[in-house]
Amino acid sequence: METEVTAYPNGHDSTGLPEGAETRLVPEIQIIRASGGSESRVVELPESRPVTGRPTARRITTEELYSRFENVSPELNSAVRLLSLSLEYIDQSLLAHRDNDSIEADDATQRMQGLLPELFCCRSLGDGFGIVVNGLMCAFQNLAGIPLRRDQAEKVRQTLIKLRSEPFLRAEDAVQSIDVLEEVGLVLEPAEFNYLADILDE
Amino acid sequence: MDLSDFELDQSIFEFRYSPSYLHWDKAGFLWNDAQIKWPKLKIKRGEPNVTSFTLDNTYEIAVTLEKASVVCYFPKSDLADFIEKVDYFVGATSKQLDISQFTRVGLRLLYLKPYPNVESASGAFLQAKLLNLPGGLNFGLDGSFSLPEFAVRWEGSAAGVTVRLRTEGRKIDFDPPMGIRELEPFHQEKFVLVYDIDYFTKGTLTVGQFRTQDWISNVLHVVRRDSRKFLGA
Repeated sequence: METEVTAYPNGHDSTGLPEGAETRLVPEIQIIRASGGSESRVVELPESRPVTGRPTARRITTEELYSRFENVSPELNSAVRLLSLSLEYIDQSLLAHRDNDSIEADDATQRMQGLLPELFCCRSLGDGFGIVVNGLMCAFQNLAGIPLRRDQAEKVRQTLIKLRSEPFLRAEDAVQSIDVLEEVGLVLEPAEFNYLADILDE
Repeated sequence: MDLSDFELDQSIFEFRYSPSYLHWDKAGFLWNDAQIKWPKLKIKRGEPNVTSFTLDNTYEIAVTLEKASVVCYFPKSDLADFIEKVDYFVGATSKQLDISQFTRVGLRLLYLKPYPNVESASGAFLQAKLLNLPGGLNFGLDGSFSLPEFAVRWEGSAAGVTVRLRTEGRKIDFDPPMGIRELEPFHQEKFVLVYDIDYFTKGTLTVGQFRTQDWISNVLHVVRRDSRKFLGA
């Protein structure tokens, strides 16, 4: 096993202007020879990168990013709490599906569905958040009481996980993330859109 | 000594990302949009790997292939204007350079407290009781210490912080060119105690996880809350 040497010099790797944005000093070296006079040469400094620790690709969770803070916005607090609770319910639903207990699965899904209006109140977190929660609400509304299938519940879980890990997701990313719901037959447009289309056709 | 005794001299926000070569194609779009939002934007440097601008003689904003930063000189203590500028800039840069993940996000705050001479600045440093400076003969020298400096770095699982406390001398010598009646020579020497705190994330985070307002205001809150421990309040 190779030995790794890690240095943590204070003052390096600090938050600041990018190196390239600062004016780099270019030293001038003067070579003086006994014969042939002197010669000046400008030497370009090689890019130097301080070693400031092992590069890490570990992903920080939203909870880690904000958990140590006391005054996170109430919307974010509520959203993370409600999304965690929603995930618990959808997990219960998936477990019930595995045990072929459709009633328990539907019961857990309905408990999750009951949290969506409150989650929608947190839409000030961003357009992406609103799009996903609104999409889920419409999906349940369009099911008109028909229970979620197992594959649909899995995709709902996947969407909720994405939303909990990225509550401030951009609108375009939100649209992509709810596309998976449509792939399993969920309809995400509000039911009223059908009537609107009819009116516009007339 | 408390943080309220200091004045906020600089606030620096920086975010890093995997190399984004879209900078070569999209820098013009990015800065053009920025100029529409901030008409007083002035170009400082425009090169393939670095583009940087200044704004209102207060902000210095730069983008490179791997990181971008916003530096504000003499910001207001609540950082409201700084947060607004950073929020726009993070959104615009992420969009134009198609950044989906940040590899590091950092906020650095530099607080200053001026002193008339080096002795009083160094004496104030000692009040924080961060270093033990024995009296008498040290290293065979009987001189007095000057311009002390202290730096320490903590790292948690998801974030880290570097705290530096140092005394600095600042000398300004300005002699105007001859023949300009309006300009007066300016000479000043002063000493300051600098409290420099750099809070940064460790590991990657997605753009969708990050909201400038929440993160900066919370770092600011933590800095204000815990700084008294260092400053000996």
